[in-house]
Amino acid sequence: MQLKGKWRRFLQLFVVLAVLLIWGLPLLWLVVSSIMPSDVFYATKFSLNFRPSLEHYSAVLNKPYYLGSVFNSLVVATIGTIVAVSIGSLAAYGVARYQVGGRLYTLGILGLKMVPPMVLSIPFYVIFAKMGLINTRSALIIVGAAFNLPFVMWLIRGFIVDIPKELDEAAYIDGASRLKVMLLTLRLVVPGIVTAAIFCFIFLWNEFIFASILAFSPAAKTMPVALGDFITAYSIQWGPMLAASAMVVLPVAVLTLSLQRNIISGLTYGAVKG
Amino acid sequence: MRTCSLHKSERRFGAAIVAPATVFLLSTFLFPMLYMLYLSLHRVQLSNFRGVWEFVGTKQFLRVLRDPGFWVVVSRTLQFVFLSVGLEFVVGLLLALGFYSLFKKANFLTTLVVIPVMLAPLAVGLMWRYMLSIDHGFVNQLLGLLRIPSIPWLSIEPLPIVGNLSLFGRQLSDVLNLNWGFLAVVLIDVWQTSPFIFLLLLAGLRSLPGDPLEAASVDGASYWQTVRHIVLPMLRPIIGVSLFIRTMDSLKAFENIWALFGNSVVMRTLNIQIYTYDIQMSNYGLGSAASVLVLLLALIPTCIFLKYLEG
Repeated sequence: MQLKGKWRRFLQLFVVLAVLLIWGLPLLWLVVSSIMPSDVFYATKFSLNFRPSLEHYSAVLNKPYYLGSVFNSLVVATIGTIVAVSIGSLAAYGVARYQVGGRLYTLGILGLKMVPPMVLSIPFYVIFAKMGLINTRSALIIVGAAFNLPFVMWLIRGFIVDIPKELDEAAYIDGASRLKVMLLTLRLVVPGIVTAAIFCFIFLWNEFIFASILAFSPAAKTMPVALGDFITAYSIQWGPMLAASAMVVLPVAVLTLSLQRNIISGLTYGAVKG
Repeated sequence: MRTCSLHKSERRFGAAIVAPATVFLLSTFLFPMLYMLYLSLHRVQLSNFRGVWEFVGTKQFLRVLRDPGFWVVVSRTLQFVFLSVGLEFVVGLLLALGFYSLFKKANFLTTLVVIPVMLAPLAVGLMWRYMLSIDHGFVNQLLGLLRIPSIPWLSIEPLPIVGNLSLFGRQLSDVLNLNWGFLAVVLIDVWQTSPFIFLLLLAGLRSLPGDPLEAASVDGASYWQTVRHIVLPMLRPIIGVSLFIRTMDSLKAFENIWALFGNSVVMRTLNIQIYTYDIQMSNYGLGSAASVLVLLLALIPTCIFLKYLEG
């Protein structure tokens, strides 16, 4: 269903320009304005005639506790991902190969993906307050891993189902144990596990709702929560705010560009296979 | 006898590897949900948090349901969901058709469009808050180059279509959220997530068999006829899935609206309402009652979809 004829070139150009203008330009502008020196940044007339400056970035990084929030984000995202992916791949294998819990379990996982996080924020807050876990990274790791587990299990399960069972049977005939066969299969779906881990990491890196409700003290904050402080401040300091946004956004944008195959397969997987 | 014992050990192994995830999910989903139900039936606030939680029955549910402000929030949330998902579908479909019919492969361009999907909604919201600021925001500067006067994006100024009605303009814009601020909220959501629908539909288009489409075009069907009568019906399952996923995600929306308007009453959606009960008012019982209601609301589309998957 390719469009042909003299309109093709014209339409191609139109689509490319529209995409660059609508999706490319705002992101580019975020980066450009974050490296504008203050006098250009706050001037009423905008100009592109300036020397890049990192002053907004240094203003953010010099804020007390900000470096700590970078560390918190990295720790929560890394450990949360490890927890979710390790217990998630085991469970995905059990669901795919041993049909544990049957169809109900699989549908249950899908159902859990639909729960709006905000709905559970209050019970989590009260439970963690009783346990003395408010303002700790552990609280964020537990909740973060839990909310990513259904997605991780769903994705890896799909990858395992695609591997023919004959492979398992051949291995069993060769005398391999259940554990051995499981490890063999999981090794074959490493691309799926990596995709799940990338998504898990990005989701945890971006997470704001639980982080802002469960860990809000200066020392416990993650980067998005530190970014959220700009909203409630009396007057927004636009320069540092953009630099802080860029520090949350750019790593993910670079990750998306460099791991495009994983990202695209992860986003489309469940939907295309049904 | 042998097969029976083998069967048993097999089941035991399966149960053992699923157990950690199951226990974890039960304690992080089922337990908080039951606890939420318990909280919703008790008076739990900051003032008596460490003391006795008095049982109040359905009082807090009635308080939420009788609050006219709550219903305004419900209708605004539904409007946000339908409007943004609808627009995302149109934009996503047009993009997918464009990419499919015009480019053999456009990997870089595809990935560029997909980047926003992966970004933190809070940062995206703040970025647009900067770009849409009225005096010298980037968007208004660009519009200025085209000699279009500045638009008060982040205000509750009524949209021109209703603003020009002298009689009921204000009322219409209040009831139906026909103001620039709400439009900005919807458009930013469309900017961030229509690429997701685009990606799913593009994958769907690429997986279609080529023959029927070629046959149709040989038969002299026009491009739009082919799209309407052949492509869209063939894509129906994937359209269903993508609309469902987006509906559920937009019911979760919080950060992007929060980034633009904070706790402002004029843009509150259900999630921001819960946040208000919880954090601003420290009324955990009341917030739990509202949460139970929102969970029930989210259950409706989920059940419809699971039924559809089963059938």
